[in-house]
Amino acid sequence: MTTRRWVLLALLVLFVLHHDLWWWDADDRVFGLPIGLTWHVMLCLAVAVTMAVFAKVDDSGSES
Amino acid sequence: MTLAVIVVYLALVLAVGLFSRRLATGTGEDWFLATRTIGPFVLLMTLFGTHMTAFSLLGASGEAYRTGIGVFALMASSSAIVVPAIFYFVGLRLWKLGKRNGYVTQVQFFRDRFQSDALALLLFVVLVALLIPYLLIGVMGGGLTLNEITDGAVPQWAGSLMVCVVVMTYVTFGGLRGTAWVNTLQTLVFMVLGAVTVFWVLNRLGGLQSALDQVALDNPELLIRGDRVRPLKLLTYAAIPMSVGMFPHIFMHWLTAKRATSFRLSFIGYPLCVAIVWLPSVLLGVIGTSDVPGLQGPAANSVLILLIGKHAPELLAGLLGAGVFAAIMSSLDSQTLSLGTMFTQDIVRHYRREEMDEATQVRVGRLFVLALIGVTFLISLVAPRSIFKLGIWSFTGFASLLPLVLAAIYWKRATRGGAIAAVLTVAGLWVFFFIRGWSVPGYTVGGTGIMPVAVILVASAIVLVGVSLAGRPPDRTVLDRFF
Repeated sequence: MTTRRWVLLALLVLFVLHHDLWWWDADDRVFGLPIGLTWHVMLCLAVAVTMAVFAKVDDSGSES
Repeated sequence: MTLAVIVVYLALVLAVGLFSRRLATGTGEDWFLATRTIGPFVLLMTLFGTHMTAFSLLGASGEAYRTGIGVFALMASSSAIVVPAIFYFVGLRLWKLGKRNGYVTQVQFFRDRFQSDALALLLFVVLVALLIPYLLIGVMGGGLTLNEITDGAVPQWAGSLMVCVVVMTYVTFGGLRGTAWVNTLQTLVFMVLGAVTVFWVLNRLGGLQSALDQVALDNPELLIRGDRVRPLKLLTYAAIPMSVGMFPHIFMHWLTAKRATSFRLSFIGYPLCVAIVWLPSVLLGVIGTSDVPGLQGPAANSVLILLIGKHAPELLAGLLGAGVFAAIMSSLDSQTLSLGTMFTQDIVRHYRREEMDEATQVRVGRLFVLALIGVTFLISLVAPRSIFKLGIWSFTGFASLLPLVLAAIYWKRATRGGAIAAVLTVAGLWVFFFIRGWSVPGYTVGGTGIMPVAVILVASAIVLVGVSLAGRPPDRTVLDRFF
């Protein structure tokens, strides 16, 4: 699979996880924040890690 | 004190913008694109600062005040996923094509890809029409913020004028290099100030847990999504940040990257910057419901200013004002410059019979920037406050055009007929939904929770594919320059 397809697949997984119906009405706190907020902050971090791992390019603009 | 801090900040911004001129080479490519020499850090800061507006500070806290923590999922984490994806799949490819074929504007790219002056002109009109309300929102937002922060001591027109004069000066003198440098400073300012503000206010309220416990007692529904953010709205709202793929000012910044690897920090850093800016805004908005209760409608957008006024020293109020100005100006400058560049390159230069030398191009660009900001300021004096509602509609229009750019760079079979039909579909459906939804707060299609942007986006994609397949394939020699 090409680099581009890995990036696309990983971001699609994160996009599905973005729709966290499973704790839509949960009021627990995780790391001091309501879980519905903590989850989405963690998603931001997960996107950063995903792009760091998969989204590699060379100087010409081709995916390496 | 508040005003003094803001004036000092504006002077600093001007100094940075004017200093950048020392590095200018005087060529057209330098003024319009900083000679394509922007490195990773400045590229990230300028892309993020350009994309984020004052809404991410004041509007986000106001939305959180009304809707609760669901705002972060709706507007922030969706952007954190969609925007880096578009930087990677669209921005990088356009940078490569821009460098290879020498584009300066988005319209030039589409004209060349689809070999159509009609499409180029149509796009120019649509892009400008969608962008101008945004300029107006920025100019009016600056005036209103200063007016509120200073308790009415500074009239709205004076705040708007300050924003206009500062942006006009560093954009006309510094061109894109000045804009990028100033944006870097401004982005750092509003990121740091958001964090400082939340730290200060939470400290005064006895810490995060204590503040959230109070919200749990007063308004527990704000700490969950509940009925305030419906799942279908969350899904379709994710189409809104797709607008970044068609913003002329973002396109312009993509072209300035020094090399492809300069983009990598933006892919990684953008979602982190989103969390850094939006988390404090959303938290303060939610906590504000207990600390400054009773704000109704648009008044909720002042929650941050009221919290600062109640808990923080005047210095912090001044710094917050500077942060809001930073967020406003870091978008306004790029939008103005991109419009100046489009007018110069796509209209004056393209339709003039004789070739324009580079000095003349820069002169025309500067004059257009001056005229545009001047006219925007004058309109801001008479425009109603309801103009702020145009923001979401502007995003809707740009996002609905995304299939056009995706087809242009990934689909060889896309034709000029398909492209023109897609733009006309977007324009027609946009007007249709705008008429239906303008006066309905939180409008969704038929009250289903589906955002109009999702419908227009799908329709434009279907029309583009259908009309393209019905027509003759594009010329092979043209495609060879793009694929």
